Amino acid sequence: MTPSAGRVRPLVLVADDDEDILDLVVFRLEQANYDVASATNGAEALTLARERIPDLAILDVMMPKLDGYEVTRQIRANDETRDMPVILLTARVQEADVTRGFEAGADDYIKKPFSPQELRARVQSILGRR
Amino acid sequence: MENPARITIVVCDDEASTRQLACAALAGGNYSIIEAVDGNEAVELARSVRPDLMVIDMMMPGRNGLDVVAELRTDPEFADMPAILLTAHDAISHRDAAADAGADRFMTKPFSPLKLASVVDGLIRKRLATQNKRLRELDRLKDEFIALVSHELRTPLTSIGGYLELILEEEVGELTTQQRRFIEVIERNAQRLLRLVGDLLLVAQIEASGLGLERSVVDLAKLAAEAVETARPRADKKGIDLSLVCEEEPALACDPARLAQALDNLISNAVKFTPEGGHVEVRVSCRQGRAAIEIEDTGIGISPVERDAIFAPFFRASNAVEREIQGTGLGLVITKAIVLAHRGEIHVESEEGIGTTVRVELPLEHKDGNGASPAAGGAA
Ligand SMILES: Nc1ncnc2c1ncn2[C@@H]1O[C@H](COP(=O)(O)OP(=O)(O)O)[C@@H](O)[C@H]1O
Ligand SMILES: [Mg+2]
Repeated sequence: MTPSAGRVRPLVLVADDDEDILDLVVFRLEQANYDVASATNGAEALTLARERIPDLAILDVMMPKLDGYEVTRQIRANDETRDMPVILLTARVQEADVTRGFEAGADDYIKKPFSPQELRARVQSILGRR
Repeated sequence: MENPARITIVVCDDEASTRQLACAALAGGNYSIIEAVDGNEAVELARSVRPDLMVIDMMMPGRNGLDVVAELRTDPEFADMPAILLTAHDAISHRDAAADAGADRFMTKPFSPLKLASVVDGLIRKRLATQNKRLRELDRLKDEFIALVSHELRTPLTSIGGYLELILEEEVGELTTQQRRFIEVIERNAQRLLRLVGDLLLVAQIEASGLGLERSVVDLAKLAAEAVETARPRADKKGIDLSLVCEEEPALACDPARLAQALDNLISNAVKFTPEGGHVEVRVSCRQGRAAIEIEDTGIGISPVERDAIFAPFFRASNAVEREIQGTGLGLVITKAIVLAHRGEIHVESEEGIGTTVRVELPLEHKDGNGASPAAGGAA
């Protein structure tokens, strides 16, 4: 994998309004040797995405105000973040939710609950193919 | 859709000739008509049969038509049951009184049978439409409720499972044997809760919008082998001999995750409902363009009277409940929905005290052109 902007390790942005889950994902990513930026809401996630241009964004779908779909859409709408891979994190996995995610421009989704292996595999497969 | 229950109409008049005329007028409507000879009987009948509509004479000795309608309207059950009042006098005062009592229509005698029939038909149609709308609304609320609750349960369970896993990996310090044992109990139960929530959500989804499939081509024998291995620890614990016989290795375009879930359900049922020392055999075969999976056990069986009910949500047979064998009664609902979504069939043969064989047949060819396509969510 090739971290952008002269980084030694890839930077992953994680956003979830549930801080326990946020900490868990952050812990697992750090364990897998990624640098992590974290946000507890959609607006913060968007700001971080624009300021730090992470190599990947993992966004919870159900966040109050700015949800994961909307953050994805705004990431896609901005020239500087347009190509940033996005993985959605969701506890609701109905057909419609998945479709909505892809329509918003997400690259993949991870269901809650997820195993650490699954998280790692999804992240690696996206960062590895760049 | 099944045939809805028959529409019931109560016709009340103290004159037999008027009752007969009304009944004859409504005979073409496939209604079930019940006659009442006075106001008291009308109220009693209404309370017991809960009719969909009433035709009542206004002028009767004793409790008259106005009293009947006014009385019934005080009961919320009858708040929107259509009522037609009949009278010999077309006087404004009568019309006003009928409206005040809560009648929907007012007709003067002698009435035209055709007119009565068309008024009744119209009121019934309107009533059914309202009822349907209300039922659909209730259904939607129920599905929404289950989806929301499932989400709210799944989120904390994600944390519980995730942090337990961290502790069990000894990421944050070594565990004593006893600590490990206790934490494993918590983990096992968190998993159980998670499965229940998943099943509930799936049942709600099946009822709301059916099951969407993500198809790819897999080897059915391999899928069955994996399902057997998943059940192996539980079978071993009960000293049950669990075996797999694959005559063939059919390549099947299916949703592997869903099909695995169906097989897991069936094999875990077989193990669960088979006493210690019994046998469970899983067979995979192929004939005439159809793959078949049979799961045979030497378990407690299902009585003939309960055989058809086991596919209903939350149903559990009496012998399972008596023996306090754990379960929710959702596994087979989900399994059947998965099999049907694959255009397959599921059959159960069983003898109480002897054993059960569940047979699943799946067509190998998909003529709908919906064959192998990569999973939508793949990150390949
Ligand atoms: N292999 C079997 N042997 C005997 N009874 C069975 C078997 N499979 C299913 N049943 C009966 O059908 C019921 C419904 O099964 P299922 O939907 O899987 O629910 P659960 O396993 O949670 O009880 C069971 O409770 C049991 O009474
Ligand atoms: Mg079961």
